[in-house]
Amino acid sequence: MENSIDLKALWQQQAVPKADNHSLQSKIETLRKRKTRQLVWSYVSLIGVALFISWVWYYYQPQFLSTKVGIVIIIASIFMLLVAVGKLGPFYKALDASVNSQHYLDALIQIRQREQVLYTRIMSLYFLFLSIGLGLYLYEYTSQMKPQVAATAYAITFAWMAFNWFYLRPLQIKKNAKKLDAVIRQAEEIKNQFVD
Amino acid sequence: MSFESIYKEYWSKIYRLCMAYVNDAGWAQDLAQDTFVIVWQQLASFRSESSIGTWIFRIATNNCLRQLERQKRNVKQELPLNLAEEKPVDIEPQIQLLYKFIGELPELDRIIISLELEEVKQAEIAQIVGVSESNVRVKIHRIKERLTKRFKEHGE
Repeated sequence: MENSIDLKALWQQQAVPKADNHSLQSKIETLRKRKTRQLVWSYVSLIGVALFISWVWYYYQPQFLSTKVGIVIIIASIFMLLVAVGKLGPFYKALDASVNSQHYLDALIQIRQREQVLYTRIMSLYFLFLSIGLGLYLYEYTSQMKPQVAATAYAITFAWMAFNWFYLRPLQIKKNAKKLDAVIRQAEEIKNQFVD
Repeated sequence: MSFESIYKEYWSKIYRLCMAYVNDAGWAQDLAQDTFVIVWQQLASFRSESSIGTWIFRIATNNCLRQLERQKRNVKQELPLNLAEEKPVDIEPQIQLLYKFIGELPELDRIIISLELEEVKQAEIAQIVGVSESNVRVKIHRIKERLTKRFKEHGE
């Protein structure tokens, strides 16, 4: 027991910086501002997307329904990505900091696993819708071209989409998974310490 | 209990807990402040199901555990850590050693021993981290043995 008294005495002698209420308040203020900024940004992007649709519609006056549907799908998929990426944020909120550490780690692991699934799905859906939208959008203009030119236009577009689907999409997913995997693995390692 | 009084009463305790977890003064101060930001945000939703101390220590320990998601910071901190040592910080070598040895422990042990040294009751520690009281007792015993051994090894 003598050792433990020593440890406690040593522990208490650790120099502690003074409680700095001022810097704490400024930290809280920064956090508040950041939240407001995020909210403003999501509204700005929403309005921006809506304005862009109206502008394309008005300026190009598309005749075919397929073109209009294509535009809507393209914009919707971009918007879906914006919302979804923003939506990943609230997962943090679902993490209740006042539960015991074991439950906290469980929740953290679960949330990160869910995030991984969601991210993969959203990226796939995004590229899928983007491709469909683009294909539909092009139809009106290619139908007015000579068949060879139209075929070339489609070939180039689809090559670009294939590049997205087979190269960019897996790359993004892999990058995100790598980050999350490391977090999940470490959280599980710490969780194992609770067992014995 | 007002936020100001909580802040005053718990600042040192939370700082020491964070310091033992990361063993870096600047980082510990940041972590401790983050803890109080969360306390400030959630104080209104605090229900007296547990004592306020248990509640705050839970937030602090979870905030420490959350550092596993900030590994980049960990790497970055290695440089300032050396710089910090050059500063004329007047900490007795024994205290530095204690915090260094605690920093070498697994994460959960770091938290448990910090709470024990902060004189939190073992039943409360069990509630904070979510293991049984007997498990806490066994762990504390082992950790103290390990720390004592490290001090002895260092003394030889």
